[in-house]
Amino acid sequence: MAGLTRRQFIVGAGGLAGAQLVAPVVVRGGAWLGQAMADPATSARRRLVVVFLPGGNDGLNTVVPAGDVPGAPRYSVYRRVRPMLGYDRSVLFPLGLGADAQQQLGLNPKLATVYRLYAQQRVAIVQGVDYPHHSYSHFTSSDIWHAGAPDNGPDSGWIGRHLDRVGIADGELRAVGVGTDLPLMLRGRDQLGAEIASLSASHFADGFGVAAEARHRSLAAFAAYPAGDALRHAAGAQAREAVALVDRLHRAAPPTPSSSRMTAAMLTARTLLEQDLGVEVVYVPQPAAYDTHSLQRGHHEMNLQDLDQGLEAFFFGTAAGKPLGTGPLAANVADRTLVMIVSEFGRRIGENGSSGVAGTDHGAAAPVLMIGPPPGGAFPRLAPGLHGDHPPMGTPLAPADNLGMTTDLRSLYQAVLTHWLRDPDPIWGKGMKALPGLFAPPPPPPAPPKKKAAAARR
Amino acid sequence: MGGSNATREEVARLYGRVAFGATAADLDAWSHAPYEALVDHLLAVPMPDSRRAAVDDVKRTSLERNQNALSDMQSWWLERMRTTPYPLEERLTLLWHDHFATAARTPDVNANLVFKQIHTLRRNALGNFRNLLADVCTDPAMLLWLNGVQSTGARPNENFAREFFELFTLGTHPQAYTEADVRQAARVFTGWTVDASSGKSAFVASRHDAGTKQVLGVTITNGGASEFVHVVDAALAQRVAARFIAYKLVTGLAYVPATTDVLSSPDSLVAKVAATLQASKWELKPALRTLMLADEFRSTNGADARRAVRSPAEVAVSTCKALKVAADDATFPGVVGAMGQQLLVPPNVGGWPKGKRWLSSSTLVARYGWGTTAYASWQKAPATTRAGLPAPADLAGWASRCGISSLSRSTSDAISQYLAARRGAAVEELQAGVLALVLTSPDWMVV
Repeated sequence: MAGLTRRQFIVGAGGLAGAQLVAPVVVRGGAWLGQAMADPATSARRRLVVVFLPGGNDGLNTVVPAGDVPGAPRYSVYRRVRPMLGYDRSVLFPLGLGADAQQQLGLNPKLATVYRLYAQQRVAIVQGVDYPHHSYSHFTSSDIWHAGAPDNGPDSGWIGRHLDRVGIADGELRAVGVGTDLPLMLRGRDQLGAEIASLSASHFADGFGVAAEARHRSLAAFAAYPAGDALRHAAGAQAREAVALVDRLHRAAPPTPSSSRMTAAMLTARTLLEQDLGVEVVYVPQPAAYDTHSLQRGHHEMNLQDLDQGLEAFFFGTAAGKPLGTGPLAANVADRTLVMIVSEFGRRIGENGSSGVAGTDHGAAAPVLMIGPPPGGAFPRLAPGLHGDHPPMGTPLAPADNLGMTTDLRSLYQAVLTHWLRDPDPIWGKGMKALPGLFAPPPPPPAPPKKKAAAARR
Repeated sequence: MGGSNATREEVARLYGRVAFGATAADLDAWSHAPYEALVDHLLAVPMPDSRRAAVDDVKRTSLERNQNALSDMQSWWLERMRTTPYPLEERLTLLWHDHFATAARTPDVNANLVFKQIHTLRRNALGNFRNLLADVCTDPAMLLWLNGVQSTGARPNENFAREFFELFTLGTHPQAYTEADVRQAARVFTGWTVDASSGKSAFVASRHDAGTKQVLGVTITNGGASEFVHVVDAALAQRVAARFIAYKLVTGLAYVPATTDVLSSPDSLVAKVAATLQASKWELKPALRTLMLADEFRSTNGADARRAVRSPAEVAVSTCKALKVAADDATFPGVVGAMGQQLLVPPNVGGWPKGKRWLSSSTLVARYGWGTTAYASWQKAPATTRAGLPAPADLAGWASRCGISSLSRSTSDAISQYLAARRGAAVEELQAGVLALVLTSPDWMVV
């Protein structure tokens, strides 16, 4: 009942504010300006969850070299340059990847859930992802990963520009960040994603009574601040956004509480995807520090375990195998959800310290982990296994200093935009081509029984 | 520049940006007084070492010594911000905490060491930037936070050296240093550790790289414990350095400049402040005086109005000043954190978001919640000490009470609309509502 009351209130507020106060600006959200969502096209949308590992994740200890092949003695190089931090291959989850010894890799022992998904043919590993003219700055490199445009400067994010192209309908929460600071990735030139710290923080402190709602109505009316004073105008617009956000989310039940902030964030992401809110993209920055300049072993494993547990809760609804009471990710959502795990850079090949404090300094290329729907769902679907080449690592006597780019991150983004999100016009500068083979194309359609039936379907 | 008397709006803006907000008494005292006199009043801060300890310094030193809860230190600082007779000093301390962002993180960086670092920032807050920078280079919390303690001659760690150039001195617009400078400077900084029992930093010659280094074109030979000062001076000698620090001052205290390139096309206020910094050999008071007196700071007319957004800590402290309630309530740090700013725990070495990135839809929900928290705190406060609240419909009184000159037409209309909708409700309910709305209004949040 509270929802109905609030909806009526909001619609009433829209009429009043629209007539008297609110300048005719186009605002996303704003449920009171549009109609309730029942568009089947939005629930059929493919979804993308981008998990960001802040600080620069050590890709080499995430997807680990576990074999030597002629001309590429990766495991030998790895053990030589990482006497303290290197894993013996016996402790890794084996990524056999067929008979091809060149592809011998292992998965970090803390990534049990990722390995479980790998065994289900749901994991793709894109190797050597970076961009030209690599920057070793956290902030510059992070901006480039968010923007997906190393040449253009960070004026907008790659998902934000997607939002510009597809638009955001009134009342729709198409792209959401989990946190308090809207990430560059979700900022378009015209459209902006939304962001929420958590579902439980997405309520006003004074609730939903008549007295509170009278205040919220006035809060939304701050959007009438004149446009000339840009920052104050923006502040007023955000006040209205806040009212719209609370209106959209107040009926979404908060997820099961968790002591891990990552698990909580992943469960929030999951709740957003499972509600009929029109969500297409969710951005989840792991609340962790991957900048392991020292004492790497313990910190990195703790971070990966935290990530893995977040994925376990997200996909399977369990914590260390025990049910969280949420059940697995709803099948109709799992069938259309892609998870992509990225960081601003990998780390240097060699470790930097001695004895127990060893760490690694800022590096360059790193693998991107992608997790797709269970096999058997709709096409195109994520093609499991390795994509792109492993960056050269030199020889044990002359190891490389760094891992260079073998896959341009723009080609990865292009593939996701084109084949997964079905972006109508994912144009990049310089004609960047989509990474081939990342998504399996649909099989040829079965021959229709009659030509008329096929025509009718179109 | 700087002439003429201050308008009420200018007093509100100056206090709002650099002094945690005006009280009604501040507005009354300085409106129509010479603007320049107000600026000099704010700058009249005796050097910390030459004045008597403040009453709350006893509590501070006790918090520095012991293993205290993070929230106790956060509360202490909020209350210091509210009560200090030198708000500009505390405001700059907050700015340097953002600039040299160091986060308490168990077990690597103890909160009490970050708290101590903040006092180091305070002692230098209005002093000389070169001294401030040099103190930070060997600060225990910084050595732990950016891995100075793990950096040795045999195995230098680049973390601090990179951020020293990128975030603390030169920036990247344009980038005036190379990867080689980072690696060479990392060698210079080796040798500093933190004594585990005393929590003090110490130079250990055997951990230092005694070789010759080249940093920014300067040859640096073994100088032991004071060798790092050569990197400080080499960095500050770059033309971009004063511009970059000026950019940070303008961004923190006035507005986010439209242009990030500080060399070829600097913002005009950035250029002015940088010129003073250079002329004064990195003394901060003259630079801040230039900043506060500049037309770019004073003028907010026209479509290109450049303004500052109150950060969450400023939101809390300004409100407490306005209502005359204590800011060290145990619940406040959590609410300030929900608005996006956990003191002593910046999100990363780059500090907090700037400008309008403080204003997202979700932080607006938290800011609205702050109004409710603040009103509850006012209700609990002794009637003899707290400020009286205006009648609900006295919007001019609310503006004064909250430290701004007036409310805009659109904001007044919106609040009047609320009062009309709740006509006949209890005064307490209406006061709580008006307070929450004023504190989330564009007029108050953006100064």
